[in-house]
This record gives sequence, C-alpha cells and structure tokens, in this order.
Amino acid sequence: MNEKYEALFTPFKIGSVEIPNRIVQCSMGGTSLFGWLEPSHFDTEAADFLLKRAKDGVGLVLPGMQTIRDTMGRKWLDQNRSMYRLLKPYMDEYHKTGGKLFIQLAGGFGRSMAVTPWMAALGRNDLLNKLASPIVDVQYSCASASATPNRWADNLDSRPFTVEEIQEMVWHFGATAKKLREAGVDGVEIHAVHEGYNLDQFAIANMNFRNDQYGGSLENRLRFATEIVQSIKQQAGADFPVSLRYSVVSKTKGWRKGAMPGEDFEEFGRDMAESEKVVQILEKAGYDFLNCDNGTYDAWYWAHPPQYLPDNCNLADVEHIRQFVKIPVACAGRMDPVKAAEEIAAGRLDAMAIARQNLVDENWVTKIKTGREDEIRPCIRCHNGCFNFSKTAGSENMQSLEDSLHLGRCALNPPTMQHKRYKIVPTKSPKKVAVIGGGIGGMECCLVLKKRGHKPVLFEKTGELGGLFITASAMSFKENDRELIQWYKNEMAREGIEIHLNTEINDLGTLRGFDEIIVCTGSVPRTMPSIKGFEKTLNFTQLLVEKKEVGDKVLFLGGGQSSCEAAYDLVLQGKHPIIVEYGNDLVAAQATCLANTSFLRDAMEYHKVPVYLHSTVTEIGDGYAMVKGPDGSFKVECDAVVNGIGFVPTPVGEKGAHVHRVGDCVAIGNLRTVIWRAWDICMRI
Amino acid sequence: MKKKAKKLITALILGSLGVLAVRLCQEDEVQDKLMSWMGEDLFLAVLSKARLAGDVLAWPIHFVRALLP
Repeated sequence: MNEKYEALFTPFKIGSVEIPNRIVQCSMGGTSLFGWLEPSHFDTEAADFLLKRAKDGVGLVLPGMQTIRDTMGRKWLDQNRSMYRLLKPYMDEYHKTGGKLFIQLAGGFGRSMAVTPWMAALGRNDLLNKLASPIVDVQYSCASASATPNRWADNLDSRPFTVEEIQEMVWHFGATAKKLREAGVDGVEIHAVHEGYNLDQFAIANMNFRNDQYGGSLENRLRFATEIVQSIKQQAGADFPVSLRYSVVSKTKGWRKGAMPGEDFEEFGRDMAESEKVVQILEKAGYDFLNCDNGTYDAWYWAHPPQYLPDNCNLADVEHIRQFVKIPVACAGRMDPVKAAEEIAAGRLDAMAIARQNLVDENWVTKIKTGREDEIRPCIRCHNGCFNFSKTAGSENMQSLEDSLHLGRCALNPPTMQHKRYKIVPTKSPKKVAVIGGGIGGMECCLVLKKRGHKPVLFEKTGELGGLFITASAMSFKENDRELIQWYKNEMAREGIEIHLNTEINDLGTLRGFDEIIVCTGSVPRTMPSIKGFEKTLNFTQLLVEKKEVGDKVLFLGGGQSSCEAAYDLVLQGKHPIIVEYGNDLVAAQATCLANTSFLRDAMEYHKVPVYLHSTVTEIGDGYAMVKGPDGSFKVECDAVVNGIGFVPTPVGEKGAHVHRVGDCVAIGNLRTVIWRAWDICMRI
Repeated sequence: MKKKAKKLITALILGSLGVLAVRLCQEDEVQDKLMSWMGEDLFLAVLSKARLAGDVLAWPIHFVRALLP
C-alpha cells in the first residue's frame, strides 16, 4: 500500500465498536436500507449497494437517512417486524466483510422538507391535509421547532411540534435502536443537528422561538437531541454506539441565503463560539462520534459541495471543533484522501467521510489501497443522478416523481442503485459497431459495447477525445471534469478500443463492414440571427478553450448553468461579467440540484454581478448591447458578448434499424441523459 | 354465485397474464425484440413510464406488507 494512505487504513473506536479503518461512507438519501420516503421495508437494492461498499473496504457504512416515522403511511420505524426479520441475516452476511454499519435515524426535515407542488398544496390547506394525513401528513412532515418558512415553497410555514409529539418521537428513537441492535446493526447515527434539518432547527436560536423546555437557552434548544441519545442508551444499552451528524457552523446569512467561501458575514445560524459549547453538551449527553461538516439548506453547498467549492472545504472548522471533545470526529465535504490521511496521522482528525464518490466508482477504496488511482472514475459533484432536488424563483421542489422515488443513483454510473436495470450481459452475437463522435456519449458507448464482447470502432472529427465536455471542463474550478475526461481516455486505452481521430463522418454510407452504427455527434450553439449584431457573439468554446480576448466586461446572453459557471470563472479572474436572462431566475432548470444552483445565484449576488432578469438583448454593437427589460430598453456597456442561449442537436444521417443515436444529438441534456441512454442502447445491441 | 365465480376466475386469469407479461418484458431478449419493433425512442419512453408505474405501485404494496404481522 502507498504510504500516503497508511493512516486511513488503521482501526479506530466509536464507543465500544472498533471500525476497521478511517473511511466512513456518509449517509445519502436513497441508499436507505428501509426504503426512501416509502412505507418502510427491507430494500434489497440498497442492501446490495451497501454490501458491495463494505466488500470494497469502506470501514463504516451509513445507509441513507431513515425517518423515525414513515413519511408515507406514518408508521413508526420500530413497528415493522418483518423488516427486522430480513435485516438479521443481512447483517450476518454484512459482518463477513469485516465492515461496520450504523443506521441513520432522522428526526425529520422540518422546514427543509423538499415539498413538491402537490405537497405544498396539501400543506397549505388544513382540510386537505387532514383528509390525506393517513397516507401523507405534509404538515407533520414539515413540523419544526417553530413556525418558520419552508426552504422550498413560498407561503408555507412549518407548524411547531407539540411537546407530546417530541416526546413520542424520542421514545421511538430508543425503541428503534433496540430493535436494530437485536438485528445485529453496529450502531446508529442521529440525523441531525446538521444541515438545517429538524433537530438543527431546534438547536438554532433564529429558527426556534419556543418558550417551553425545548426553546430559549442553548441547553433547552439541544434538549431534543440530548433526550434522543438518552432514550437510545436507556433502551438499546449504554454501550450501543450513537453517532451524531453535526454541522459545525451554519454558514448561513438568513432565510435562503448562504455565505460564500472567505466571506465576512454575520452568522444567522450556529457560529463557532456557540458550536464550541454545543459539542461539549452533546458529548456529555452521550454521543460517541461526531460526523461533521458545515451548512444548512439555506447554504446547502457547504453540506453538498459542487465543484465550485475547494477540496476539504469544511476541514479547518471540523478540526477546530475536535479540540473541544474527546470523542472521535469525522469530516465530510470534498475530502481528499491524501490530505485526510495526513490529518489523521497528525492527530488532528479521526476519520474521513466520503459519500458520492462511492456512487461513482464501486471499487475506489480498493483502487487507492492498491495504487490504481488513475483507474478511479471521479465524482464531478453534479448531483444530477443522486440528488437532483431543484428549485427556481417562485417554484417548489421541481424534481420529477421518478427522481423523487430514486435518490442515490449516479449520473456517471447507471448500475448504481439500479443494478438490475443497468448491467453488463455478455453478448451471444458479437458485432462490429461504428461509433461516430468521441465525446462522453461516444466513449461510454465504446466501453459498454467492449465489456459486452462487441468490437466498437470510434471516429472523432477532431484530434482529441472529449467533445463539448472539453469546453465544459475548461473553467479553473472544473478539475473533476478534466479528471473525468482523462479517466475516459485511460479506459479507452485500457480496453484497447480502436480510435480514429481527425476523421469526420458526414455520410453514414461511407462506413462499410459495420453491423451497427451509433451516432454521438452532439450539438452546436443555438443562434439568434434576429438579434442585430448577433454575429459578434462568442461561443463558450471560443471563450473558455480558445481563450479569445474578451476584455473586462463580458455580457452573457442567457443565464443558464453554462453562463453562470463561465461568469463565475471570469469573476475569479477579476473580470466583470453581466448576465441577461429571459426567465425569472438564473439556472432555472429542472434536475440541476439546488446545492449547485444556489451557489451560483449566491455567488453572482455576492460578487455584485449585474443580472437582468425578464430581459433580452435586442442589439449588439461595438462596446455595447441594447437590453430590453420590463421597464423598457437600455444600453449596457460591454467588451464582449457570449452566446449562452443554448445548443441544438446535430445528428448525422438518418435513424434506422441499425443506426442509433446517443447524447445531445438526440436532445440537449446533461451527462446523465447522455450516459444512461448510451447504456440503454448499448445493452440491447 | 356462478356470476361471482366467473368474475373471480376471469380476474385471476387476467392477473396471471399481466404478471406473466411483466415477467416476460423483464427478459433481455424480449426487450431487444421490443426495441427493434418499436424503435428505440418509443421503446425507451414506454420503458421509462412502465418503470415509474411499477415504482408507484410498490408504495401500496409496501404499505400493506408493513401492516402484516
């Protein structure tokens, strides 16, 4: 094993339980052993996924969060006896790996409940909510310490929990932990004085206005969390380990307002001074482990960092708080395993918590252990498959029902959490397949086909593999995207796939001797010649890859994700971007996670980027653009205009029984739509 | 009584056929055939809707199962 990782592979103890190494898989919604938001049951898909992670060598696995009371059906988690009967033999099998498993038990979402439009409608209407309550009680699911505004839906306040409801919940935490221990589970993690979930809402003074024993003083605000651990220790045994998911600081400026990296701001949530006291109270109450990062749903990008945040973004705060307790502490948030190993060896940290990398590459622990880092498929932190709760101004959670039912999947690795739907089945009739286009879609097709036993041959018109993703990965903070392209190149070479670079195929008839053809020719920027002077605009490739001189003030025509990311990159270079968007918000797209979009929106505000919503550009001249907004037309001075109005598919040839299309040449999407369709097609060739 | 028995038998036969059809459609070979008949876009659209319907149906099934002793 490489010396730089040695400290990661040393054991440590959480209470009475020894964890074989320092790698903790954080809980991810959807990978829940008892189902995700459904009536609780033993979920065989999650069980398979979690067991594979343990076999790969993750020391401690935390399955996805499990609300102590079912969101659908409202049954308490300790009431489903058949579920525990199935859990027992599973845990026996699980323990053969040497790994440990703690179940994460949640005290609910409160105001962070990602309500969809129909849920918001129920939550706002007492009668409808009452009628629906035997199946789904939105007002209960959103209940919190006090009447606070929902993160997702306007005009929907949480109702305060009654004392009886809190105490009922506390008892069921203990009862559930007892049943879990009897079934062989190694411990539990309480979710969470963290991320602005329900227990965090009780703990944060600005979210808790109660004047009973659960409000007011810090001790009172933490009473819910302390009573839970006491109930567990009392019912499941004093030596049953209890971890706590904990946000060191909230990084929150107000309702729906997060703080940027390096920003000097007044903390609305929990600041460091209070956090130093909080951890001591929680340790004294009986918690055995703190699994830490930062943030709330209002500053969601700290808990679910997109690529815009730096590696190890929460480490300094977590290491600071560790000095105030004797129990072990883990840190999550873009953790670099080399840095984590250094910190553990130096005695500043006890464990590294990593979540979404475990979705992308099922063998990454084995790969770092055996020095095969270049084989690790990197997580690009897109949250498109695993966690795509999305929201725009005035909307509720826009996630599709299909995605609501299936968190914890992966945009880059379709078999994750759907291993029966996406699988490599060796072909009985090997075929020679021409793949046109060497972008991500084309390369994914080649890899799937090759693994199935076909012979793919790739044709790429340029001299480089990567397609439009080369442009997407060109920004300074997109190192994971660049790693992904390199991973594809490595895999193509490792699989020995025949590649013809600088070979453009415009006529499918010129391809001879192939049984099947897959067209992956992507897209080109949309144009809008009706705008006077549109020919002066630059596209993203010219801006980011060719690095054309653009001056200081750069106007983006369109406020989608690409424009906002490029604008943020210019801000980091000290330039002054301007955004003109036709819609009512930036990045107003379904399936782009709020953790990502809220960072971009907050960053534009923090860096004072002029954003003109409900506006269009009517004319582009030398050194200016005419913008038409709700209050009329005005002139905006700018040195360059970038075309960010989107892309149009550019397929080659006609479709047929043996001619297939994959990727943006079908419809403009994202890596998830490209890669999943590549599998959908290539599994059936 | 006879009418009720007839209805029950018909429901059982239709139900069994439905289950059989779902099982068949889960087979790789059957899916390959369906895709070649329907074309990939229609096939993938139908498959996606069928999966969603299956997921939604799982909710009441879990709900009832949880009620069983």
